Amino acid sequence: MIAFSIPISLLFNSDREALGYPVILIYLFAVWMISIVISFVIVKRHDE
Amino acid sequence: MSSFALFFVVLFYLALLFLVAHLAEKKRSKLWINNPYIYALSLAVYCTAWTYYGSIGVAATSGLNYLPIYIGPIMIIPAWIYINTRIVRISRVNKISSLADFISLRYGNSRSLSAIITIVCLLAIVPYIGLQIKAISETFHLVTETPMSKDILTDNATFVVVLIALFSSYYGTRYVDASEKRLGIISAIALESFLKLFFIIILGLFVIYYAFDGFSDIYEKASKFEDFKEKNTFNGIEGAMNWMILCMISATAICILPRQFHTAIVENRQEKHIRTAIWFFPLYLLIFTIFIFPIAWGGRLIFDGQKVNPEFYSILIPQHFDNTLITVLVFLGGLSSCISMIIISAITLSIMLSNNLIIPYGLLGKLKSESEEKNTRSITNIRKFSIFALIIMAFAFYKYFILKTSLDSVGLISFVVIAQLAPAFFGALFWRRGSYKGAVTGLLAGLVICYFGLIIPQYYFSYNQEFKGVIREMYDAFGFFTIPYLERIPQIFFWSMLVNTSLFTIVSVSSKGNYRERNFAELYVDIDKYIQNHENAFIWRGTAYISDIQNILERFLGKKKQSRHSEFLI
Repeated sequence: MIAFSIPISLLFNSDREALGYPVILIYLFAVWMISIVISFVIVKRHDE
Repeated sequence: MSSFALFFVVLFYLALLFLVAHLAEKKRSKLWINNPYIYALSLAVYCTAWTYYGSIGVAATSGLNYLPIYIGPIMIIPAWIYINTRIVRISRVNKISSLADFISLRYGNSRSLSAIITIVCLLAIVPYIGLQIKAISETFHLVTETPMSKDILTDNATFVVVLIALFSSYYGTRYVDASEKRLGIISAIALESFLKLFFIIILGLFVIYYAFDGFSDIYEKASKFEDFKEKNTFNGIEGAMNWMILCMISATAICILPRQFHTAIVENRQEKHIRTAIWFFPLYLLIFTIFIFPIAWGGRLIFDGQKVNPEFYSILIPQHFDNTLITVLVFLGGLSSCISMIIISAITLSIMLSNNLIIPYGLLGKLKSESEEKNTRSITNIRKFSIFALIIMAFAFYKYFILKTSLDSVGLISFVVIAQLAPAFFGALFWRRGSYKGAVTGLLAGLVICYFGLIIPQYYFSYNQEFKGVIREMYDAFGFFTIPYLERIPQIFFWSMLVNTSLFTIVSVSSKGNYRERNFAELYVDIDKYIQNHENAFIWRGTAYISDIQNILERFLGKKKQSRHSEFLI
């Protein structure tokens, strides 16, 4: 949640490109992906 | 493609859903009941026509603004493991069957509050169902390449809508006990969720690799648009604030929307299924949104300069390449996202209508006097009729009010209206002092703001050009509260939530609820403690040895009788 908050997402709000794509898109999707992985790992650990 | 052929495809598709629902109901095998993925997929009823068509339109016309609707849920979903587990427990202990039950029970099982909540849900959801019908009928005309008929009776799409209304009113009312699990319908919804994702992936791959030369090709060509850079960044800090508020709207919506409440709470079979949903559902949304981006920009490239509705790029692109198969598949994907939303929303609304509005205020006396069997039949009939009536009402709403507005704006208004329930909802879970009076005043105040701020302007303008007379003066008087850097919807959300939450807290703190409210407040807030006592009271979870039982029996019955009885024990 913190990672999506305004000040932090605005850091990436430039028209620069990373890997050929806009930074903000890469950033948002990366945070999204990471959050999935984190919850997956936590849930699996919790199970055992 | 001719209308008849498409009509039969729809019919066939509905029959398939029917079959799946029927099989799942009949078999009840462990694979179906214990499958956490079915639960997680059924949550994807969140993705409606709005996602399927509307988001593509938003992505093409205003860029990043399509994302908050999905980022919001992502922000709140990890908290589900705590929040939803508690709600599921509370609902199971109290046999809760709908959102209205859940909130009103906490505030002293109040009949009037549950009626108000039912009306709020109706206000928010009927236009939302209307939006689905709009999507179905417009895509139906697009695929068959027929013009929209002015006369409702001769319009082909009308028949499709009536068909869906019949389907859901039959299927939604198989059970009278509203808290019972509908395994069949949930399996059908899960299948639909899978299919709509599958079809959008097919379309995405089609656009990326057939229409264009890979993802980077679309990107390179699209970046030549003048507004591309502007669309793919926040519009300064103002844009970012709007964006953030949209995230908050959708974060509350995913918890409180009646259909989400139904799939996530009422239909939850095992608490541990929530754990799978926590990572699976965000993954589902991620795949969905990733494909929206190339489809939207690919569509803009193909139809650059032509006047087409960007919301229907997903149908228009395969049609542009004369690919009937993919067009029909995409249409079916859109259809399934609409149908699943319509069915679940109509079911939960009809439960609320019958349990919280029609029966308590009209039929209670009558039901008491009649036999149980008769009651069951009349309750089912009320539900059947209300599902059918709801869908027809939504259809009328679409015909008169939202013919020209975009899918996105109608959906967001529904979200803001439903978000008015948020203070009472979350207050119920975490705050002991929250009281009935506070909940009602906050809710009503928030609703009034929404009504004048969003609903009137939205639908008034579909008939008039500008405000006239008294209404205009009234709006001018409130001009002071306009926040210049927020758009209309985030602004109204901000004001209504501020007023709603503060009234809720102030009134709750200054008055004391009656004993019933306080009783339920303890139950809701301390559900973990309560559920242990509750279970201890009914099920004794220990081990007993036969020899111990024999000893006790001997004391009561004597040795001879004891040995005869203990044969049964062994």
